Formats: sequence, structure tokens, C-alpha cells
Amino acid sequence: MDLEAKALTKKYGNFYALRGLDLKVKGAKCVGYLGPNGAGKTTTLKLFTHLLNPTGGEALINGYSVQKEMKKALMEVGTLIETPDFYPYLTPEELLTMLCRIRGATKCDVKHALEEVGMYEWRNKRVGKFSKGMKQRIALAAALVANPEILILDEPTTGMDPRGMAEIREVIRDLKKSQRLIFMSSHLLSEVTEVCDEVAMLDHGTLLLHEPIDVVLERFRGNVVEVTALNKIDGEAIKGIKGVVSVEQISDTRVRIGFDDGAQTQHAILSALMQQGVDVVEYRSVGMALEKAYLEMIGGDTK
Amino acid sequence: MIEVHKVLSLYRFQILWHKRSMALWILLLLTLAVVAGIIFEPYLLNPRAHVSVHSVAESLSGGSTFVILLAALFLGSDALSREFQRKTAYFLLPTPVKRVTILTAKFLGTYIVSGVLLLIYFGVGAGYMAVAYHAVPVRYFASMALAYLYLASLLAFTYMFSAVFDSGAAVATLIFMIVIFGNVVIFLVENVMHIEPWFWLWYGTGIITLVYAGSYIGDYSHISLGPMGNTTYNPYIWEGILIMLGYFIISFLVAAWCFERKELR
Repeated sequence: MDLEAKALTKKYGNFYALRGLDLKVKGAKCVGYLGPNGAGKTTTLKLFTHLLNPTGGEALINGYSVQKEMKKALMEVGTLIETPDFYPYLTPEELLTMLCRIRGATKCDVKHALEEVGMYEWRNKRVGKFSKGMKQRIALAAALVANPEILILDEPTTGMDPRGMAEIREVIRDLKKSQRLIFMSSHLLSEVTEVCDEVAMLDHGTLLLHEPIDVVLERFRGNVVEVTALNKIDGEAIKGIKGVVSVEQISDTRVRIGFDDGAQTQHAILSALMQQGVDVVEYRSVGMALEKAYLEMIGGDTK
Repeated sequence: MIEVHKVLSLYRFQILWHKRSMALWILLLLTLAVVAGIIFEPYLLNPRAHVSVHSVAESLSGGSTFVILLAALFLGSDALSREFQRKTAYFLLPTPVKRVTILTAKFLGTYIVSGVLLLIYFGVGAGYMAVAYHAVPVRYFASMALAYLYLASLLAFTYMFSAVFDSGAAVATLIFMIVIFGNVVIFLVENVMHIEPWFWLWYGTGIITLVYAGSYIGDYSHISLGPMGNTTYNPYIWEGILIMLGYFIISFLVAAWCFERKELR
């Protein structure tokens, strides 16, 4: 199972929503698709789901062109694009049954899909009265109902309360266990870090990065740690530790230490602090590496 | 190609959708109001009026075009446009099925629901004639069959605009204007361009009432409009059928072409 964009381009007048995107994601994993508003994330997903026609290039799913062999390409794909609205007079059960019939799917399980998103008890109520969060859950159930091997999800936790967001992330993590390829756009960096294995970053319609999350985290590892101790910390003494480039005294018991190397130095600083008699109760990297990478890539402020 | 088995399972959801919508029940009330109005209108002015069964049947047939217009406006105008306006297309379209299959299923569902309304309209009319006159003219049923053809052509015509515009209200207004001013267009085309506008749908629909005219069909009728007059060709039944059939096929194909290419930006 794979998704591939070959020089995929979408242009509106003189504006490039997507410019020559080359991207291939393959195998059972979750790929986070990150970018600021207007970067071209939703455009990419719409091109992969036949909601838009490309100006140039090709979108391929399992080797089939979405534009030329749409039926074969979308056969094993479940989608959630933006927050769709539903026919208000129909119930979730009717909507998912309709979707199964449209797809001609043989492995449909309406009950399981509704249970998975926590909407089974609402199966016979008309969708028109549902909140945005509930509709988002139904939309996710619609993506899952035919048990597809590929899921294309556009900001799946949009419109949900914190509890709902956590539940949906849990659903996505569970889906990863069942050998699926999940291609998920998000503007929530924490969500991508928490759920995904790979990250692709996009800005102004151009791909900036596509790498495993671990590689990105390592490359953009934060070189500042914050230390909290039970006793007073002597900032001047810390400056003498090898590799330390800056010390910021936040309070008597808290300091922020900048260093110039990787994990080895970070560990050496901790050892030195212990030797100096500092009773460390917390020792953590400052800032989120992915956020730093993201902001650096799109030319934003990293502070 | 259209996948018939998917059309046959999908159109039921379109019927269900119409059944649960307020528009259908308003339309049913309007249909009953139209048929009642046509039946009782002669007696409002003169309670002792004598109206022949032939005249009642012809009036009812003429009135059916109004019911068909209402059905197209209420049920057809937003059939496709609302998919884009309300974003329901995001749920429906990214599926491994040709859009023409979805279009056909939706059309079939709307046609069946509208057809039932038309049946109620003609049924009430036939019931009234059977009770009041103990007879229903055979041509009433011929007219009814032609009305069903008109329903198909006007619905397809409406679907065509619904596939182009994102607003159902805009489509309904456009169709209403085209229908209402159709006769003005015929009049202008005839008098300004001096050609018979046989390509106009309402030229064809004339046969719904001309079916009662017998030997006059294929002749010309003269309409006076103040100081001006207008001579209009009354088509043969087969000509009217061809015009309506032509509208149905061309409109449906254009609707399918537009719907297939429409983007969800």
C-alpha cells in the first residue's frame, strides 16, 4: 500500500496551491502532513481523493492514477476531507450503509465503525441535530466503515473537545496496529509527534521535508535543558562544566542551561550537577524539537 | 459507464431523503391545492356553470405542467448544488464510483418521488371526473403519459443547472424565470427572427394539452397579444415527444459532464 505524488501541481490562475510535489509514502505507518494555513495540505489530499483535478503531475494510490483509474485507486481508501456535512434527515446508520453501497464494499461493518468512534448509541438519531464534534466522529466512522487499508485524514480532530481529541488519537493509534497506511494532515504538532511515524512538511505548495519523526527529532534536538532542584543551584559553577555555553538563572532552584553538543553533553551536564551536590528533581529539554524544526523550515520565529 | 446495481441501491436513499424533508410535504399540499383549484375554479364565478368532462380533463392536463414545475423547483434545483454548497459532496464523492452513477441514482430517486406526486394529481382529477361525470376521457391518460415525459425532461434540465451552480436558490430562480418567460421568448424569436423556435422545450410540452385537439395537431394557432398577434405551430405528438426526449437526453448528458468535472475547492 502506497501513496505517491509525482510532480503534482495545482494552480488557480497565477497562484500555485501546490508546486511540483514529489512525495512517496509506503507501508503500514502513520505519516503526518504538516504545514501552515494555505500551505497546500488540503489541496494535496483533495487531489488524492479525486475532489480536485491536478494542473500537472499525477497522484497515485497503490500504483493507480487517481485521475485516470479512479475506481481502482480509491478502492482501498477511506477518506475524511475537511469536516463534511451530512444529509440532515438521515441517521448515522443510514449514512454509513449508503456509503457501503456506493463503495460496493464487501467488508463493511457499520456497527464496528460507529462503536470505534463512540457514536453507536446515536446510530438512529438524525444527523441534522448533531454537534460539529459528533459530525467529525461520523466522518471518521465513514472513513473506517469499509475497513480500507489506506486512510487519508484531513485534520481529523478539528472541532473536537480535548477529550474527543484524545479519543480520536487513540483510535488512530489503534488503526496503526492493524497494518494500515495513514496519511494525516494536521496543524497540531503535538498530535503528529504523538501519533505519527513519519512527518512531511509543506509550505507555499512546496515540500520542505519528509523524514521519520525520530530523525527529525534527533536533527532538531533542543540544546537547552531546564533543571529544577531541591536545593539552591549555583549558576556560576555550572558555567565551568564542559560543553555549557549559557546559564540562565530562573530562580534559586531553577536554571536553564544551553550547551553545544548532543545527547552525550546533556548526560555529562547532569552527571556534573550531581557531583556538585545539586539535588536534581527535574531535568528536561526545553521546547519541542518538532515545533522548532517546523518553524525553522517555514521561516517562522523559533523563540 | 453507469453501475446499475449501485444506482438501484442508492436511489432509495434519495427517496428517503425526500420523504423526510419538509419540501415534499409542502409540495404535496400545493399539488392538492392546484388540483382543487382547477376542479372548482369554474364554479367560483358561476355556481351553476356547466363544464364538460372534456374541458375538465384538458384543464387538469394543462395544470399538470405547473405541478411538474413545482416538483422541479422543490426537489430538483438543489439536488446537486447542495452537495457542494453544504459540503455533503466531501462525504459522497471520494468513493470508488463514477459520479454519473451517483447522479443517476439521485435523479431516479427524485423522479420517482415527483412521479408519485404527479400520480396523486392525476388520480384526484380522474377520481373527480369518475364521480361527477361517471367517465374519464381516454386522452386524459395519454396526456398523463406525456406529462411523465415532460417531468423527466424538466427534471434533467434542472439537474443540468444544479450541476453547474453551487446555490439551489439560484437554480430555482433561473428555472422559474426560464419557464415563466418561455412564451415571451417564443414570441420574440418568432417576431424578431422569423423562425419557428421548435427547439424550445415548451414547444414540445404543448402536446400535453394538444393531445385533446385531435385533427388540429400539426396546424397553427393564433394568439392575440393586444395590437400584436402571434402564430404558433402546434406540433404533432411525435414531434413533441422528440423535443422532450431531446431535452432529457442532452440535459442529462450535460449534467453528467459538469458533475464529473466539478471541483470541490
